Amino acid sequence: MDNRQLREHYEKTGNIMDIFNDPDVLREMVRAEDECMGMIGAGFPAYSINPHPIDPEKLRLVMQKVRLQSILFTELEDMMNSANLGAGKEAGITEARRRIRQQLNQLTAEQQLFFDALVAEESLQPVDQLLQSQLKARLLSLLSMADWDAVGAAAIDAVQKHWMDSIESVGSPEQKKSGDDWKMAIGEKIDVAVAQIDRGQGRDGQEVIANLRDKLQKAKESH
Amino acid sequence: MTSGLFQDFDIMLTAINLTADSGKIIQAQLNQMQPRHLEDFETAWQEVLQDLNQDDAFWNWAMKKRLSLVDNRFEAYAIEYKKLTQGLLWLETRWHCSWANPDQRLVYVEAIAAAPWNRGLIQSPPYLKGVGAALLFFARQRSLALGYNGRVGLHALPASEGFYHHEQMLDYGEDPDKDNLRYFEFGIME
Repeated sequence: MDNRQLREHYEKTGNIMDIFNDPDVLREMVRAEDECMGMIGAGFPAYSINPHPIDPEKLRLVMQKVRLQSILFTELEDMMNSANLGAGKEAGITEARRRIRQQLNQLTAEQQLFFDALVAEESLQPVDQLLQSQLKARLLSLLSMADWDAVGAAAIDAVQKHWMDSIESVGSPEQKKSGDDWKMAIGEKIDVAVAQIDRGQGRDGQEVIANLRDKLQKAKESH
Repeated sequence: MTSGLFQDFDIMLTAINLTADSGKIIQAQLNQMQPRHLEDFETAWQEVLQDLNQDDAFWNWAMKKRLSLVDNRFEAYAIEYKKLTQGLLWLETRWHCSWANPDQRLVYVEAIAAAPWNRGLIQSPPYLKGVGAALLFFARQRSLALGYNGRVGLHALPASEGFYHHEQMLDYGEDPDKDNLRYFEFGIME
């Protein structure tokens, strides 16, 4: 797709990303990436120029872990959505993911078997209903109550922060306006005083102090 | 559109079709970068690279750079599929100018990277294909939205030059100010 076509597309839809909906365009994009082995990096020092050979068995295990995380995090997000955590959701998810990842490195043999089966099933359609139905319970039991408490605490902290940010953003313009009004009022008084002095109506400091002294003396004598 | 990191809870910007390793077309999401994407990057990406005994300069670079993203002139995005981060994009939107027309601003790609499992040199076939192209197109979309008429610039890694040639970006040659990486630019979209 050339520039002109892209521009026309943008002007029509406001979004050039949906050209990926066209299977031919997508195929072309994928071909371009395939030709350079998916190397699309830009802007930073090169990826390893001489990568070490990869052990296929290690790669299989790594990819199994990646797929398992996908499955668990999808379930986690469903759970978080149903808990309706609002502004705390993102922080809660992040904390939960961190703790789940830690747990995945210390699975029991029984847990490992279950998750291996789950990943193997993922590629099958439909996914085994029995495994799927156990997933939420497995996810819950993966972390301790203390972990889930910490996830809740992270969500609450985020809500609190969000609230304080909202208060500040609402308060600031008012405070600024009040400060501006004060500056304007003082400025007007100064302008009036300057004008009085210019007209010869100003009083010097000595005169003001003498007047005050007189007032104090009179007040003293009257008591 | 909100710029900077983590400023918005409504983060999904658009759905994008990509190709899975099975050859099937799947739908991924392009999001503003969120804490979970950085967490993926700092744990999942890094763990994979460590397990496979692979060096990755991108990881070190991004760790050093991440604090600078608190500045509004930077924008950060992530492609997510099945709740895992598949690619990351950092843009600078105010300071860089076109090499072809130095009085014209452009969107500069500070960095663009695919997850290790989406790189053919590590995982063949890659778990997902099309991540790089989608991110690059999104940089163009931002350029249009910012009134830069589609201008986008970047410094490509040597192994990625073929990809940017294929995308028909103009090649301005090696840039001694940027470790001799070649500078590429998308011109005005007209």
